[in-house]
Amino acid sequence: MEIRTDIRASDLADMPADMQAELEAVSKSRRDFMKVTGMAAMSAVIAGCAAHDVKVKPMLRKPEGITPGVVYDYASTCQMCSANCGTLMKVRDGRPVKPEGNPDNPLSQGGLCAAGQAQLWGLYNPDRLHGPTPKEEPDGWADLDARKRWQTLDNFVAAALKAGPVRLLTGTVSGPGARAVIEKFCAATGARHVAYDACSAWPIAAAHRDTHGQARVPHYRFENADVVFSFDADFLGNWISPIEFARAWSKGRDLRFGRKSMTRHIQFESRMSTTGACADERFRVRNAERGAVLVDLANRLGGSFGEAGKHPVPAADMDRLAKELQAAGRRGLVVSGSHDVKQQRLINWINHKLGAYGSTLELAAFSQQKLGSDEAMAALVKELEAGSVKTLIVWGVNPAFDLPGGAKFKELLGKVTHKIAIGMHADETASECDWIAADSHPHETWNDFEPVRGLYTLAQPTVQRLWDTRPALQSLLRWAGDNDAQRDYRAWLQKHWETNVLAGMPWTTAVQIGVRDRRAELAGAEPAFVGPGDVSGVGSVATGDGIEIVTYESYNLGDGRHAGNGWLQEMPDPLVRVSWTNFAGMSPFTMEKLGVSEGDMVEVKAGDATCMAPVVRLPGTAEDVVVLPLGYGRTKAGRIVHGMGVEQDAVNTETSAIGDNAFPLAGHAFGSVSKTGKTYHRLALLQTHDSQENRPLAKETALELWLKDAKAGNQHEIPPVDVTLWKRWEYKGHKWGMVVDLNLCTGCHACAIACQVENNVPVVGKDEVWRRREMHWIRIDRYFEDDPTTKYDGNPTNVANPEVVFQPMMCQHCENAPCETVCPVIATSHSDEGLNIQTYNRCIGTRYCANNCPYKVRRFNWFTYKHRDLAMNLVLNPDISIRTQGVMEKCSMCAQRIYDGKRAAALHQTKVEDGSIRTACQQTCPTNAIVFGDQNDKDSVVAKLGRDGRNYAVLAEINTRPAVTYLTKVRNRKAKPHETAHEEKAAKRKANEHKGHDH
Amino acid sequence: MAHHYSELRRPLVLGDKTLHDVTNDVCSSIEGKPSLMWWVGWLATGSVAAMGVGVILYQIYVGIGTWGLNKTVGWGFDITNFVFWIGIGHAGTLISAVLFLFRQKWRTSINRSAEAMTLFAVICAFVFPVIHMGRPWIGAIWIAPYPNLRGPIWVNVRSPLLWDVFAISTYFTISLCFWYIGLIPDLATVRDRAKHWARKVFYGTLSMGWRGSVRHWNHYETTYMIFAGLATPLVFSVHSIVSMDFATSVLPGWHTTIFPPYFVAGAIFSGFAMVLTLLLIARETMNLKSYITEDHLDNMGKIIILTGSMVGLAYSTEFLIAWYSGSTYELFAFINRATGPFAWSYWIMVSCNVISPQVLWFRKLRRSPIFLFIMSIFVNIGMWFERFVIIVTSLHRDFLPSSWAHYYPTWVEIATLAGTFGIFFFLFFCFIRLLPGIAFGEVKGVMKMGRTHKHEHKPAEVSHA
Repeated sequence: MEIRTDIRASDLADMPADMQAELEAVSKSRRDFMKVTGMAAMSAVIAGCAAHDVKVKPMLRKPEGITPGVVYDYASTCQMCSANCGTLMKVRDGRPVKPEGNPDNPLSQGGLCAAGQAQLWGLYNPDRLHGPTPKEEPDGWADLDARKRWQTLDNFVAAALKAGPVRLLTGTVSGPGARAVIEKFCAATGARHVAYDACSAWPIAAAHRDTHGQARVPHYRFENADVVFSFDADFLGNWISPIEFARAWSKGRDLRFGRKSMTRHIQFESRMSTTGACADERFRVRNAERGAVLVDLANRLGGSFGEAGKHPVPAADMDRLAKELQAAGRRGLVVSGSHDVKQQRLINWINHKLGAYGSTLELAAFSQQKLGSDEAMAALVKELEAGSVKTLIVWGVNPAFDLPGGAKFKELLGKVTHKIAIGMHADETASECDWIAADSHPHETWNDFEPVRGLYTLAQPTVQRLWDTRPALQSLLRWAGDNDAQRDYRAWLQKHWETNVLAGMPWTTAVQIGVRDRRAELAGAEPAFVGPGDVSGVGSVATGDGIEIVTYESYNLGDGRHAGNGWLQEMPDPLVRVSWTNFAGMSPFTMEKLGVSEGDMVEVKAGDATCMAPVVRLPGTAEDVVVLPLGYGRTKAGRIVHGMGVEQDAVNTETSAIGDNAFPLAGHAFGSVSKTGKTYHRLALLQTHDSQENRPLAKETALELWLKDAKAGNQHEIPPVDVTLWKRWEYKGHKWGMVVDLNLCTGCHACAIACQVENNVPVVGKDEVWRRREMHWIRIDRYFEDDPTTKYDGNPTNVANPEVVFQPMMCQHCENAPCETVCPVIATSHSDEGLNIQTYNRCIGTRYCANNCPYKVRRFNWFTYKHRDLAMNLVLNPDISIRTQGVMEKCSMCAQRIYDGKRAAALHQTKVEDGSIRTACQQTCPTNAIVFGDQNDKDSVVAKLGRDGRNYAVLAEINTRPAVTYLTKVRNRKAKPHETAHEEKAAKRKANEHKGHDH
Repeated sequence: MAHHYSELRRPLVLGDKTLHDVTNDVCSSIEGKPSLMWWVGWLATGSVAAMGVGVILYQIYVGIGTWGLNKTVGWGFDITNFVFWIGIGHAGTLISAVLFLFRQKWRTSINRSAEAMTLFAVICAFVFPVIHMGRPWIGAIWIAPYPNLRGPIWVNVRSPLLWDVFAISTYFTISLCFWYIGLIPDLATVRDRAKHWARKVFYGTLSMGWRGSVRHWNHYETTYMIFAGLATPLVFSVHSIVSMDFATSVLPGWHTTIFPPYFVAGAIFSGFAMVLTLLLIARETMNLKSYITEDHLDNMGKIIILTGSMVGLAYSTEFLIAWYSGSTYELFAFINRATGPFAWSYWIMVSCNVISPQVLWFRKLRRSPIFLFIMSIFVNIGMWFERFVIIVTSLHRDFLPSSWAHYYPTWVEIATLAGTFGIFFFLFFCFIRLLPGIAFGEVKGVMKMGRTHKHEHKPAEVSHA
């Protein structure tokens, strides 16, 4: 059987014309194919739900180019956030089974984040609206069919649109087609469009309006930067377009394949973020002190912005760093997530001073990933207060939840005569509206995007609509009275693209690769710098009562939009490692000062806004700061947030919804933290010990030491003794292996979720995670650097500003696997290609293998983790069997992908090319930190990296001989005393050994 | 039987019993109506046993997620209980076989019940390897190397769990046969005394036509000797193999070469403690003071202090080797035992197993039933915790600190442990009601009856020091 992967533009160029035509035919007939196979699959499960007038018939005549059981990839665009990374959706038998990153997308370049990997949960989520939903059902509603119901809704909307001032509130809408639809709608109805982002980048745009005359968010080009200064910009975690930035950032951080230099990354931040965790140097600067550091920096770069207030960065460091930044010039970049427009103006001045515009950040081809305007939203709120808005259409945003003062927004909605929501869920805002026009899932619709000016991407449907929903754009077209476009949106979009976007590229090609990049046409159109504008008072340190409040968009739930997604609820915060709840993160010293310990429920209060959360330790956070993730506390995000619908009823919530909403506190700089006397008993932590205990597990060193010795930081303290009782494995054919570069891992958890989706790894719920029974096959161990001089004292993270290291840990596929010898029934065994194979059917569940696994990567099915709702079973990957109660499971190195790759090679009678098989974790990794391949192939990347000086096996001294090895983390900073001491000790040991040989 | 009987020794049976008295004393408990105490005990332990069976069925049906185990701590109460019960089972065979071979006559009054205790303890122990499996309904079958059409798929002979299967089933089989053979002459006596036809059939069948002829006795003695010879190495092999469940792993705290002797000593230690517990109760409640004398208690006290000190030596050796190994992981595992989150269990173990038996250096205390009873309970608790410490503290913090976790047992696990105690005592109550609890055939052999004595005098008081 053939695995047809995506067809790239480069492939098309050499393709004969008739074949191109054939491809076009395939693309056209695909929808029909969906109708047949998709419906056949669907209707079996969701009988009665689909009211579409589509006949289910056996596929007597096979559609050309489509083979049942074969996976086809469709290029699309991820819509989990407005970064809009490129995806390739694997579709099998008419249903999408797994998203992958699209390597043809020049922004994400094949990477995809955890949320992107988790998008299919939303498609099959039974909590989605199944059709148009009125707040109060009109008479006879139950008897109406789907068409009539939509008609009733449309009639209501038509009347509402005539009633008076209409406002259309949306999130970021960047696509040329989508924007044309909105323009059409506004023109037809006189509506005004307001774009709103819950976690906006508006201060950046506003600052550029003042400094460059254009309210634009620049497109940051981290790949061009040698020195990056980040002031609270979590660009590897959640800031604007983290996957794109992570990939770009990783290019300068990659020390593999003979590269000898590395960029510098300096982070100034109040909370410990993943970006700060990956920085070379990190300074703890409270939000209130950020301005002072900025002014200090700007003054040292030749500016005169008044006196800088007192800030915690030592003057010597400031001096050194400023010189470094200045030396980098146009290859320097300063970014900030600050919400203070004045600070952003100063940053623009610094970047301008460096000559960075046009090099490390671009305003001509600017980012359209955050188009929301705080000003426009504020104006809308004013209008709502005045009662001048008669009709409000809310599409895809949830201000009643995520607008600071969301409760007030809910009240204001009451003043609007006609409220219509377009959305997939009856969320906090939509449920307040008179009607909800049930939106289709992004996988069921055509759409387009322009994440960066000049870069166009397409999203195409991959499945027949599951329920009686209507895509939002089609609803808008319908209400604008454009019935032709509404009826066949694809045709309309194609025409629109052919006229306005494609500029000569065939539509088919655009659909196949998903991208049309015309950014080159914008070259040289950088707007000029007009001056820093008003930056008065930036250098002063804000003072306030109590504790500084720092909120951030959570890494898993985003701004709360993913709260109904079980995979993401169970994904831990990469630093705190807690899942299924929000928390109040604090430095251990602040905790001591406040007299609270981990798990204590505290009330964070500012003005009349409050948020209850359990305290967790977040070392590295500035003192007197409380950190609250946003996105938790959704009350209307489906069953999951109420503790229902998840397997085993395992979500035992102590409040009605998971966590408490921190958005009301988002606008406050200072507040108070008070103990409630309660304890949060079931803190679902995936890791409870933060220190490596000075064990050589995640090894690291400094760049200067590594340049002297390629094995720096990686010498064995106890050399492995290579002894075995048994005959060695021979591995005559392949020997699969993996190399993980710790230098590139940002702890983003995309691999963990990709693995979970690919391998049907169950979500177990909060209680089970609390019992330490999460099933993730790959976990990201996070260690805070201990002070090496202190011994274990039960509270290991006794350093104010510890360095952090992330270590992805999955089955190490040991050659001398401790698990294999102890299983009494040989349910786990070694393949002749070096894989440690788990035979589920044979497993009787003694758990001895897990006990004997030094890496603790084996996962046991304590119960049968079933989906409550059968529709959710469609999310399962048909290539992988599901496991029942009492069976051990673990990383298989995506054995199914290896078989597929080998089969494809056998079919073509070629050898398996290096790189043709990619594991799920490797595929999605935004920084390419994970490499998989054949260690027997001397030229493979994995074999080359195996010979790298930085390569080491975790726990090599117990002689497990793992097939998964790691590359030492290298930080581009001065060596620390203990690192230098380690090198000296190693050198001495080596000299002694040498002497020993002489004798 | 015994022809060389030192007159210096104290009599093994007190109270000037005649042979008939012995028979009557022992048979009275199975021939008369059971006492109220027996009924109360039988019903109480039966209820606990029934509860245990119910809980076991519940956890098999719902899944062992009902336990408090997790991804890091894969074994907890289950294997702790298993090793505990197997350990209990050691004293019986030791008393019957090893002491028999060493001609320790004092064993005769206690060997029957000690052997019964062994069997019941092994039955309780058997429960855990079965229910600890995720899928016992297939696991209990697939663990056996039987011919099959699936390849054939065979068992893994490298796995200590498989060695366990063989070791324990062998041990159980041999112990059962040994016990049963020893029962035959006594069963025949009970058969001969039976009046009701049902008793005649029951004991008649069980006594397998024993007529007490010289030829029978000859065969009996030979067989008994052979079985004693077979059972003796098993006393050492079973717990050695059980210890290999841990010793052959890579886990710091488990991967220890001293485990086999350490476990055997611990098993004898705990077994004797449990024998003491049971016999002291039986002695008090069933008027067996003439048979289980203070000398018996004294002897058992000596064995307890010997094995307890061996166990104590093992504890300190582990620490020494952990330090000497130079391995971070090894050293940490032991420091963590004594100072980590489970330190309380470690210190319970040390106080109960090492410190508390030291008082047995005093002869007076060795001969005090009430004191010995309290001490035996301490040792039982301590030895349960020894296994808990070895299993849980080693697992909960192993190589990668990221996976370190705690373990909180659930009510299901506690109820299962209680249930096996119920099963154990319930079976014991059934045993003393149905079968002669003392091997009176052998006891008679160690009495002075029928022996010629030149001087009729009481044995001299001889100090045992």
